[in-house]
Amino acid sequence: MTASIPQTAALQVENLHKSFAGIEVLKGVSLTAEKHDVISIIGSSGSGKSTLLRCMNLLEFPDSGRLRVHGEELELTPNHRGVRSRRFQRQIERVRSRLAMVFQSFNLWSHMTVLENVMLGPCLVLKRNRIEVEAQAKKLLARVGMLEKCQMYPDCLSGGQKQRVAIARALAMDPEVMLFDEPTSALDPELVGEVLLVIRELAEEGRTMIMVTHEMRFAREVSSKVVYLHQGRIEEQGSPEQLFNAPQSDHLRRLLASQY
Amino acid sequence: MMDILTRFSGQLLAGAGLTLQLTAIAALLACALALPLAIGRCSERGLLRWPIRLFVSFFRGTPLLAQLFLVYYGSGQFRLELSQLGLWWFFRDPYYCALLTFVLNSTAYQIEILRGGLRAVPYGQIEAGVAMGLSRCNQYRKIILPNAYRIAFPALGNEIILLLKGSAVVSVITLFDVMGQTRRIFSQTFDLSVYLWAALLYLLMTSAFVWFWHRLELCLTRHQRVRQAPSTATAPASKRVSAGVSP
Ligand SMILES: Nc1ncnc2c1ncn2[C@@H]1O[C@H](COP(=O)(O)OP(=O)(O)OP(=O)(O)O)[C@@H](O)[C@H]1O
Ligand SMILES: [Mg+2]
Repeated sequence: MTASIPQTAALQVENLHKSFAGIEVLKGVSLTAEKHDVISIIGSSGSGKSTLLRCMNLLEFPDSGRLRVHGEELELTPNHRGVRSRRFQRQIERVRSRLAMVFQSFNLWSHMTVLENVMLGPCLVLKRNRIEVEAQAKKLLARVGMLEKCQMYPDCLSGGQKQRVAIARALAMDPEVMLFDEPTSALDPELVGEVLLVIRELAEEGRTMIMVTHEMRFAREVSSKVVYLHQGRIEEQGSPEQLFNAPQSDHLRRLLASQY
Repeated sequence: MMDILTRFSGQLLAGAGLTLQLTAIAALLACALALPLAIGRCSERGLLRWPIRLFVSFFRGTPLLAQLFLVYYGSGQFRLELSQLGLWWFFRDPYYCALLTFVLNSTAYQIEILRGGLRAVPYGQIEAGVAMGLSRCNQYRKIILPNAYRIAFPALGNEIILLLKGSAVVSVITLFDVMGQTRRIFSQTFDLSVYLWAALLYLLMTSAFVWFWHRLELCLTRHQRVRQAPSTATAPASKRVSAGVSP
């Protein structure tokens, strides 16, 4: 981190608002992820965690707010939701390509092999050379322990294996920030470990990550910052020690008590 | 019974040629037309959606024979106008009229079939593409259409079989497809067994098509059939992770 490079946050959202059918789900959320941050978002069901994450890469279009990804800034207003200019659409696609998302339900493309799943993004979005992409994809698959299954289709993999492929697919985009939405919630308990292991490695390697999780112990171990979302607002945030050892808000205290 | 076959097999086969030709060309053209229209049919914009709905409900809701008469005899009413437009050569010819009717009819059915396929594409898979920054065009090319066509595949095969059998109506506008040839042979010989041979010929064509379509389907859906015993998949996985992730 030399002084000559201006310190820009990897991802910054400001004053995000989002309503579904008149019900406000996000009520002005601001969050900054500096480079190498690992931010865990916790909160009870329905508090808007997924919505927040999905607003970050515009899978949901916020009603208002500001989004900044590595210098690129998007001012979001409701009239952007309908027909968009081509330029704005390009900008959205560019922002999305910088943020990789790992879904709770994996969402692998079922008609493509594991290798093809990992290669699609770099080939078509980043428009990189196919041979290089294949080499890199195999390296990433080896990393998550899935290289020998690279010619298989997702339907023949276990949940944990699917999620590891999904992580490799996200990594292949060489993203600025990785977004995880409850990556282990759809897994059998005995498969959770293998996925958390991969995520932990990524955290230790200095990847910038934002994850929604119910794995409190894991969040505590890997996060640099924990954010507690309650009814569409950030009620508390800080280091894992602060939040888990000395929670300030009653809601958070109750949530933690119910988890242990 | 057999002598009918030996005497007229050439004509019956020629008829089969015409039947297959009409069906194949119409099915292919309809396939090309149905894709953009089905996408338009799923569009949010009413301006796009409504005309397509109207088109589909007309061609699905009326008999093929009536459509054929409308195109062939109906166009005769506008001979002057069509001549001026330089289109009369097309509508004068029963072959082209039959082809046009079949294309329109099959397009209508294929739009509906594809629409079902498009709607059934798992939304999460589309979202994974969107989240990656895939352009709309690439989403269709790589994710939506491969899924939609696989889902629609059996129904599309069904539609083509219906079209093949339905094409028998062209015999009433003087085309000599299998049915047309059969009717001619019958009028010459008054031997009812020729209808049996015609039926067998249709059966042969549809069976061959069903076999071919099934092979194609197996090939397209191989990703759904390669499941293996899950027990071998899970056990050593965690070990491989720890072995694989050394930096
Ligand atoms: N597409 C949608 N349409 C309408 N309402 C929605 C939509 N998505 C989310 N909501 C509503 O927004 C609220 C927040 O949902 P969200 O999925 O963000 O919660 P969450 O914190 O992720 O919960 P969980 O822990 O159960 O995943 C919920 O009340 C939900 O019903
Ligand atoms: Mg959620």
